[in-house]
Amino acid sequence: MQFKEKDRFLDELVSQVKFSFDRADIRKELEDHILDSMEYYIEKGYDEDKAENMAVQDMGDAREIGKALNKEHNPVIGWLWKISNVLVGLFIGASILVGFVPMLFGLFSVDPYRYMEKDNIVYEIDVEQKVQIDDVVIKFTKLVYDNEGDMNIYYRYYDKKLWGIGWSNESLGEIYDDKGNKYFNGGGHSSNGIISKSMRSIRDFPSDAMELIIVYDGLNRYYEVRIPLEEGVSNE
Amino acid sequence: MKIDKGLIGGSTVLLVLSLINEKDRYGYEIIKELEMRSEETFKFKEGSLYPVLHKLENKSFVKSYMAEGDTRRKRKYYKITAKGQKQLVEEKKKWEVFSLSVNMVLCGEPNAI
Repeated sequence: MQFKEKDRFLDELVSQVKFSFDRADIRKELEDHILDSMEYYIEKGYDEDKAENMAVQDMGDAREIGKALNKEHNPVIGWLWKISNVLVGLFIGASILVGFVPMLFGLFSVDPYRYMEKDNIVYEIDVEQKVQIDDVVIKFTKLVYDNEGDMNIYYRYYDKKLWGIGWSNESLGEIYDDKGNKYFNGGGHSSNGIISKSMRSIRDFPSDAMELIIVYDGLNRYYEVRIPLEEGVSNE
Repeated sequence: MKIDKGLIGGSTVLLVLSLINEKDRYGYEIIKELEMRSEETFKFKEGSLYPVLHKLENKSFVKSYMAEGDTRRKRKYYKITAKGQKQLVEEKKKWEVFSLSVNMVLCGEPNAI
């Protein structure tokens, strides 16, 4: 659109709002107002330029209004709100959280893999498999088998729609090995972010299994991931 | 006659809340309605409505949502909450006391109530 005066007004107004997440919404709301007002003046017989000019004049002082809006969009409260949303997200995942410590790690959005003691690793495999459910892309990145018989599956996921909530990592799918064993027990944790890094661990996984299979089947969505394992490879 | 903005200042919440109480409305609609009903007495800087609306929302007196309404554009509508309706009753009372008091001063009758 070529309405420069309107854009200048909105730019200046929005620049006063410190909490940047709210700027787009504020801009859209006031822009709608100006466009409505312009339509009104155009209907009254003014040309577009004049209508724009009058509509913007009617709004008042961009700085002043921006400052007043800034008070209502307090960055501290805004950030607390955002953070509490993330915390709630983490809390919902509590059923798969092993404990408090991984949650702390999750808070800082660190790759969970880094916290694995090297001495405890029996074998690890880099994986590059990608699946998609609705708009959520899940990337399996690594398998680590440790000396306690836990198979840890590392994966990342992100939503193609930025704030989508179509899928939660709690439902990674059913996990099998090539022997036909199905695994229910285990834990995991994840850190939320635009790309969430997650770990799911399965207890009592046989060290000589040849393949790990993850099958997701629900609500007309299906995927199957097969990851070959290095049988019996050990670092001892 | 146009009244200066300071004078409406105190009653903005009352005016805006009572308009939203009638039905869900968007900003421009509220401005137009205020102008029309007051026969253009209340013609203030239109942009200054938004800090008021956002304050009302922060206080949970109103809730906003996006909807198309009867026009083509998607707009941000405001809807009154139960808390807002309570506040409206409160504001109306305050206004009555205020206008009564002003009248009492003007008419010089100390025992008017």
